[in-house]
Amino acid sequence: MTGFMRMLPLLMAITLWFVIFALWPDQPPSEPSFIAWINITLLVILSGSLLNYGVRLLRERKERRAGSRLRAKLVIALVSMLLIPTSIIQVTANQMVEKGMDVWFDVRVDTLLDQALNLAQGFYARVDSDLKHGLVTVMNDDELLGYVATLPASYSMLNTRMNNLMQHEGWDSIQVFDLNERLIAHVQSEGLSGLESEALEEEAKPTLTLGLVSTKLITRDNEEIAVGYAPLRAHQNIVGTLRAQIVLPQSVVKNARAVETDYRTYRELERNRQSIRSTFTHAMLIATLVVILAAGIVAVGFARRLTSPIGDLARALERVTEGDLTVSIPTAPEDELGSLVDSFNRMTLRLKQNVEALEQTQKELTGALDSSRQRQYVLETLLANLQTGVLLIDATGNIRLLNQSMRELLNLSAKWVPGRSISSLCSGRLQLVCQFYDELCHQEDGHLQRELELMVDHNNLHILARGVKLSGAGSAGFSGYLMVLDDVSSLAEAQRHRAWSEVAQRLAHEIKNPLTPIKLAAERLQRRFRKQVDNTVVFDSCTHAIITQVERLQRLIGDFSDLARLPKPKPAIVHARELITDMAELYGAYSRIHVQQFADDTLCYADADQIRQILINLMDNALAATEESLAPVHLSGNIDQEVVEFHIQDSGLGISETTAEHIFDAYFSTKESGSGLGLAIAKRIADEHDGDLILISKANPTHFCLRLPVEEPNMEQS
Amino acid sequence: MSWTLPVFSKSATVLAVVFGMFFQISIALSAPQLSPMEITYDDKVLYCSVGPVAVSDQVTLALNQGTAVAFSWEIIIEEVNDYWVNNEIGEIVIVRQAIPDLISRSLIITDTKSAISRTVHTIDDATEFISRLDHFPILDRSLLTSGVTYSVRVKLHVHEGELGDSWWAEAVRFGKTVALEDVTLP
Repeated sequence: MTGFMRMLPLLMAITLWFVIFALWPDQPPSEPSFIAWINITLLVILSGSLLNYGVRLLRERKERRAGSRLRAKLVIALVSMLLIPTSIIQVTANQMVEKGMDVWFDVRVDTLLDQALNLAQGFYARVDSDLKHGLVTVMNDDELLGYVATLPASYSMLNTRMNNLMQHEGWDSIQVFDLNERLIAHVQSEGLSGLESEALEEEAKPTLTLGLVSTKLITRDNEEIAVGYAPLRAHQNIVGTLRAQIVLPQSVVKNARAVETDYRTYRELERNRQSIRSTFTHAMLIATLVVILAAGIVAVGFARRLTSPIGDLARALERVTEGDLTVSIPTAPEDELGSLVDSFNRMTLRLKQNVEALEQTQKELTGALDSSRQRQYVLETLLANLQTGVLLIDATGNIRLLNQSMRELLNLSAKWVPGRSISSLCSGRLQLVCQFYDELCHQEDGHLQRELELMVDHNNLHILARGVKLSGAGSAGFSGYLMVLDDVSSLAEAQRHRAWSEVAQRLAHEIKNPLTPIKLAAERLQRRFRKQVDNTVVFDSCTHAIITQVERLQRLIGDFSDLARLPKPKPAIVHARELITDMAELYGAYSRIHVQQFADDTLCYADADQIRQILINLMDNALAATEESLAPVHLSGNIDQEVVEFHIQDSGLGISETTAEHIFDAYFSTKESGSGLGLAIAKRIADEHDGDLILISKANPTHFCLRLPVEEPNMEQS
Repeated sequence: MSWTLPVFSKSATVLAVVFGMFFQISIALSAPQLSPMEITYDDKVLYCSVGPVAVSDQVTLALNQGTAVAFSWEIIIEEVNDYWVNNEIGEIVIVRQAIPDLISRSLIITDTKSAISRTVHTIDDATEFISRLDHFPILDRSLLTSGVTYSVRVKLHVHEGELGDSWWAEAVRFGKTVALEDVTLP
């Protein structure tokens, strides 16, 4: 709807107000202006309604109510359809009235009426003039006056004379009254109608008193009579009154009065010409306004009836657009709009059913997807956290999946990514893996297990490789090969260690038993036969060597025994400060040992004896390294992120790069008399406490750190 | 579905009220000027003299063109109340009419109240008769109280044409107040 159409009611209201001011009556309520006030009232109501409707249209433009535009268009169209022809009819009618008035009040009619009236007036004036002239003649008739003076003797003569005069003048009657207004003589053309004499009229009194000749027109019994009065004088004295009358011809009177009536009516109409025009205009305007108002009311009602279902449909569609599919339009007329409403209701019902089905399907799919994602997550998490290396290869030999453990286990290069062919990647140290894959591909029973020895980062790994052939069925199936590689080096080492420990224990037991008698025998020889030998130096040297080597063998066997039978730790709550204090007391004789206690009294969960063994081993090593330089040795405690740390630092000779790589290996020692088991045992104890023993710095200073957990560790079985 | 007639809103009501105010103002502005009035009295009767009221050209033209003209005088005597409507003591209506006879070029003037009728031959004589009330008895003095102020209001309605030719013409006869005078008897 255009802005002009929307502003049209307001423009029409403004126009109507101009019309109201133009038609505002000048006069207070009278007959014509009363109609004008009715028109003013109707115009005010109409303009008010238009104003109200225009304001509502402007308001609805902002609110955009459903169906309002169509309703406004219909109302404006219907009212305009009626307004235009009625306005044309109004203008045409006014023009016709104007023309009709000009015809009615034509100047020829005006002249004709004036002439007719003048003609009638002339006839009456002529009668009056003749009557007066005759009266003057008769009142001066000496014969008549003589008879009047000689009454009553001259009655018959008087009557005869009066009769002659009446016939001569053409009158209808002559009467003579005396000074007392009594009728003394009377003649008339027709016979007597009664015996009673008529009284002299009031108009005749001036004649008696002043002697004037006067006339009068009397209307009586559908006839008009011209009456004249004249004085009768005798010797200059009034002795009576002469009354003469003429009955005017009825046809003439009738025509004259008709002319008078027509003239009067015509002049009244002429005087009220403007009023008639105004009345007609206002009457037409009343009819027009009533028709427009009625048409407006009917148009609004019709538009509302027509657009109401459309508005309901528009509102319902808005709700459907917003997602509300429960909407339903309850009532509908039995026409095309009703059919449309029924179709809409069916459509929303179907939509609702479809959406519910879609939601159900979506819910099931979402559940399945969630389940799939959960399984995928579990699988990915499992593969990511699995210590076992997993490699999935499809039927074409391309890698489909490999986990992080596989990369770490085989130290794979960045080229090993899903999508690459395994045959193109296998070379060098990984040749055994490809051989295993080839063997698996040609395996008929579908699974294969082999132990592989691979060199990874200068470490010889013992790998347990297992493979299985995957033969999926259907579209969801997968065909390929799954290879699982486990690092069983630790297991093999443990097995070897276990075997060695058993051998060591047996050897120690078998060797340890004869060493004590050997040592005792050597000491006995030294005590009993030293004085008997001639060369004591050689004797002492030999016996001392025997004793020293036996003692060395005993220590060596003791260490072997300890390593083989290291007891399980018995953890308990230990004050870390006490361990530092014990070390300070134990090594109090060494002035170059500097001890720095923990800042706080910290508790840790450990086997105190085994921890002391580690600390003693580390302190002994530090003192030995600084035995010549007498450099200071520092022992300090620290707490770092829920871990208790013991730091041992010395500024001795330091540790070489090669030594540092194998310093925690068993049987590795740089000392001539060392068994190479001290740090290995210390490392093992730390590991069994779920802690760690690390070499932080190889030289300047040489820095070892023992870390123990504050909380209770999960002790492994030794 | 039912038909619903539109209801005029508050704005239309406001416009109608404004229109009514305009209507009343227009009536007040069109009120005529008052004519001189003299109230006289003797021992028994209160008399009123009004006029002559200015006769419009329209009346003269109507008489000249044969249309009868009647002056309907309405004299109202009220006791003046300061804080309430006046108390009407009496009301008298006098109708004076002039009927022209174009054929005889005369006019018959009548006083319908007293049934006096006579013929005059000039329009001036006729208008002089119908447009003036001269020493006209209006009320018995015994109905009035000495020292009390009374208001005498004279309303005039000029009617063209024969009297009583339409009932509604009398019904819509409002009349204008042409004279107003207060009188206090000693």
